[in-house]
Amino acid sequence: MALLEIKNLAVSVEDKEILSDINLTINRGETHVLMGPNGAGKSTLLHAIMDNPVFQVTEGEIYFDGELINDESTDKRAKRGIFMSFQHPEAVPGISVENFLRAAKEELTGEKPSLLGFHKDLIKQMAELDMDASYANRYLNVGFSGGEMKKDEILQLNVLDPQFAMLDETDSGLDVDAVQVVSKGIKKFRNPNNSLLIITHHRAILNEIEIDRVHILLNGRIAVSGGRDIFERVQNEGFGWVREL
Amino acid sequence: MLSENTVKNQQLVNGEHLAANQEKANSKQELFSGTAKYVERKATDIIPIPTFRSAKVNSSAVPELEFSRPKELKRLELLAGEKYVETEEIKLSASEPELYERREIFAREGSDAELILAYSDSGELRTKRHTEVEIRAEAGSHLIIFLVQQMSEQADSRMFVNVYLEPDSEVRMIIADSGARTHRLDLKADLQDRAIFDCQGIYFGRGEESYDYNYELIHKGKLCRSNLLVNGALMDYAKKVFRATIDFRRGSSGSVGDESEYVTLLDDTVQSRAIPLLLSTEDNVEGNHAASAGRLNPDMVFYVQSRGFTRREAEKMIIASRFSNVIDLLPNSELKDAVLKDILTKLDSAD
Amino acid sequence: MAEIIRKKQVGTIRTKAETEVLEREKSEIEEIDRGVYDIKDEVRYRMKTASGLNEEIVREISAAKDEPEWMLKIRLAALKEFQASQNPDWGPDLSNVDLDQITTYISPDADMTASWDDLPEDIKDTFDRLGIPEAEAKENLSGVGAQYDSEVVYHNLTKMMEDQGVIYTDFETAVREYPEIVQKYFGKCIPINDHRYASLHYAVWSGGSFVYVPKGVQVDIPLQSYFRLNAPGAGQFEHTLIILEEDSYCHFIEGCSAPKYNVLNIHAGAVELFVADGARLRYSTIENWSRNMYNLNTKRSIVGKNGAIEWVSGSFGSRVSMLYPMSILKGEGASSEFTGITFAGKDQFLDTGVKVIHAAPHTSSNINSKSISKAGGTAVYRSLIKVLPEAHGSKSTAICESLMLDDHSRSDTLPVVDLQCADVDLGHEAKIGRIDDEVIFYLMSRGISEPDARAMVVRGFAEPIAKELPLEYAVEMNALINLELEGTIG
Repeated sequence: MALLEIKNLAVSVEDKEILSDINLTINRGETHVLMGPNGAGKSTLLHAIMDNPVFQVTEGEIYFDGELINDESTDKRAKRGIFMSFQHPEAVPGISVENFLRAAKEELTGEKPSLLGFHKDLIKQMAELDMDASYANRYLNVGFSGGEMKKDEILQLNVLDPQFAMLDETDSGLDVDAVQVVSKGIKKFRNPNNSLLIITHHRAILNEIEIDRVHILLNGRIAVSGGRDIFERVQNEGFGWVREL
Repeated sequence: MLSENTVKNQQLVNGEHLAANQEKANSKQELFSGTAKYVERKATDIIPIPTFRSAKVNSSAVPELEFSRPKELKRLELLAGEKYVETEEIKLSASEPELYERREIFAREGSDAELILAYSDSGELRTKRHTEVEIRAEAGSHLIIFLVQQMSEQADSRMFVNVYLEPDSEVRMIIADSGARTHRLDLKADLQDRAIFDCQGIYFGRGEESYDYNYELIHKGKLCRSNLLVNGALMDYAKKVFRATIDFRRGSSGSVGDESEYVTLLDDTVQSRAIPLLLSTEDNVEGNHAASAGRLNPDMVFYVQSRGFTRREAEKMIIASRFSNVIDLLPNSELKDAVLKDILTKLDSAD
Repeated sequence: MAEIIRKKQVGTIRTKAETEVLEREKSEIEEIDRGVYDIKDEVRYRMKTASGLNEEIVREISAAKDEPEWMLKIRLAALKEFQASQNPDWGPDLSNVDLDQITTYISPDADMTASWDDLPEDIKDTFDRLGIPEAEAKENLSGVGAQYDSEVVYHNLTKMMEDQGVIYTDFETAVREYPEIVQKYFGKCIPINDHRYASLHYAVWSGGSFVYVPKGVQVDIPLQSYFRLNAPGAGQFEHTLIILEEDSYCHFIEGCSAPKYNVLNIHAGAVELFVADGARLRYSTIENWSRNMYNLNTKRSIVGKNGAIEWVSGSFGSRVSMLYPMSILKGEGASSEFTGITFAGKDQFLDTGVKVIHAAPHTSSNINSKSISKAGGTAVYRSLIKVLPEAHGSKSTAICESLMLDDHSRSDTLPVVDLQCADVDLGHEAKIGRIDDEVIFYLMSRGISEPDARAMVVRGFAEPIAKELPLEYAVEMNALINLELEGTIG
């Protein structure tokens, strides 16, 4: 069954069309990979699905779990179970990672998590991501290195446990070990009921995850979709062949 | 240096007469002991605290000069087309000891121009100058103005600049001040929609020179951008007041304004005052101010010395590098050399 | 397809900033009820001076307090200064401070009490609702002096502190029982002619706290004092005098919250802090005055060699505030630290800041100031950093951030730096702006609603100050911020 369904989507920023005629269906339990050269509009698609006000959907529909969500605000979409790992997470001074995640969890579940239970769980999840427990008290993304921010995004993914996660180059800027850790975190998240859409160019982060479908975005359109073999071909040949299609 | 206005503002800082008193009487024990004596107010010991426009924070305390002759008026109209470049060098001397001028510059729509005004004097006798510059920049105009002042300790100088930036205009000013017995610069820029105003300044004060700056960058239109960066150095008994205001008026939504001043203090006898204001009635703006003051960074001096330079050479090198924001922008190598040489000569005279 | 084209496309959109210009939602912000902080008691007076201010009244006040002659002399001298003085010609408008409307001295219908139980019921009730007994019950909050109207009605000091030689009492008692100490320090930090409202203060001062910490004594319990105004038209002129002898330590907490009245009110207190060589004093304040209050308070400290003063300050409420805690760093190596937040809402003009005089070598000052303005409020940061010629090797850093929550408020930053010495290291940074949309989007992407996301950012903005406060006060400050934000943002 389709968890996310996008029909004829067109997206603009400042009157300039970035994406057009996007059709994409992601079923429960599937992992899709989104590839494409720089500037193809990969991040734009994720931001549009999350309703970043910078981007305007000028055409098309976004359905989640069978319901049209075009007019829903970002927080409502998050409450439906959509999650996005930001390529450049924002720093929020004064709000600790733990307090933030507890507040978000409460918003998503409608229940106040127990202080101690939540803390214990958080520390455990952090340990699995090789994050020092002291990060729980650090202000959200303030003074975090690139790698720390990415781990923090995956921590949020694990703690908030959405139905549908979008990862925007979560592996960029990570060293080999960190990619492994993040990859494990993503694997831990995946189950037969949830879905994943990943923007990546690297094999390493996908080592532990089965790929169901790969889409290549070129000049604002999905130029080609297929199986893992497409991913391998891009790895070996780049995007030249797609341009010639 | 204190005007009547500023002395009036003493109320808030009256308490400082304690510190000021202490400075003079050198009897610090007073503060902790003795009977209840009511220390007399000494207005002159009290430095002013800035207030709002009504209290004239933005006005200089340095008086204007008086001239017996009439003001000379120079008009310049810049039209769209080929880039206009002009250099004017004015040297005051025994035969021409005074300059009293007003310049009106109209940068018409789409014009592109670069103007250099360089002022100097022979240093033999007292000279004075008063320069008013009124600039109106129309849409799409692009104007760069260099103001270079290299006067001696014999000269008094006053400079009043008003810039009106109409929507979509761009004006850049590059100001190098290295000399004058007293120098006052009032610069006011009025920014309309999407206008860009950028000002890079340097000053170098020595001897008993006194510099008084009053920059006012007023964002009236939306999406305009202003930037003010001033680097300075003071030695001997030089004095400087740096006032800068970025004022985001209602309706200036989407505007960004930055002001910064960095001053290097070379002698304990200098006086440096800074009053950088940020005023805002708009929330959708970004205003930033940064300032620093202090001696040369000893680590930096050490680093340069470690490459084989004497301490003095190292210091000179670093001070000169501080002024690169302006010197690098100067349009020709003669001017660059002249400004740099002037600064280095002054530094040498301290040895 | 027309129906799914969203409102956002209406109009020509050039940039994000311009989108803002075009589409700004002008959410008028209603003043919120001040809830628990506005409990108003039936006022009971024991003595009330006539409106207006003259020598006779000043003599009356002094006589009622059974004061020594020297104190009366100071009062009368100050009165003269006051009468000759003018309102400052800068800053907020003070022309509505009508002293004829102010009854300068009100003594509550309660004498000095030794225990909570003896307090009159209605007074107790108000304190109860402000959470003071709870605070007192807590072990680390055991030193409580509470001022109700102009006189201290409640005072308690633990045995332990007395044994250490610490004196903590109300100011009237101090004048009677420790005249030699009071006379030595009173008015030496803030002179009686400092400014108009300092003169007024010295003429009519009433109530306040006196703390004396002997050499080497570390007072590990924060000493607290609550000052409240609870009579219509009453002025509040408490005097706080804290003396720390060499190498001692003390944390003093001043909490203010006043009920709402329609009559004009003025607060002109004075806080004089003497920090001797090697001593460290932390002075924390949360001021939450009712919206008709003119808060014209003067706070100042003189710090000796290697001594330290730490100011933590939260300014809420009031119609007008003019408050610039000042540190005179008089001894070599003395330091001053200021952490403060100001929140200006509708009809408020909060003009706050800090002053530091570096008067000795190797002194240092550190300023971290934040302000929030909304609903047409004005927040002004005004500061002075002055380095005297002898203060070589001194350091000063200041960071000043202003957050504007809408486009009809005002935020100004007016710092003055005056250096008379080259051997200094000074850095100053200031920022004015609003909440970044991308941050809001990020928080919303985690399921947090826009109003909550904005409130979260504002609380985060204030967090560095809250962190400096004891837990109970941090909680109170967060409660105040939430009160201020309720129905405000979004």
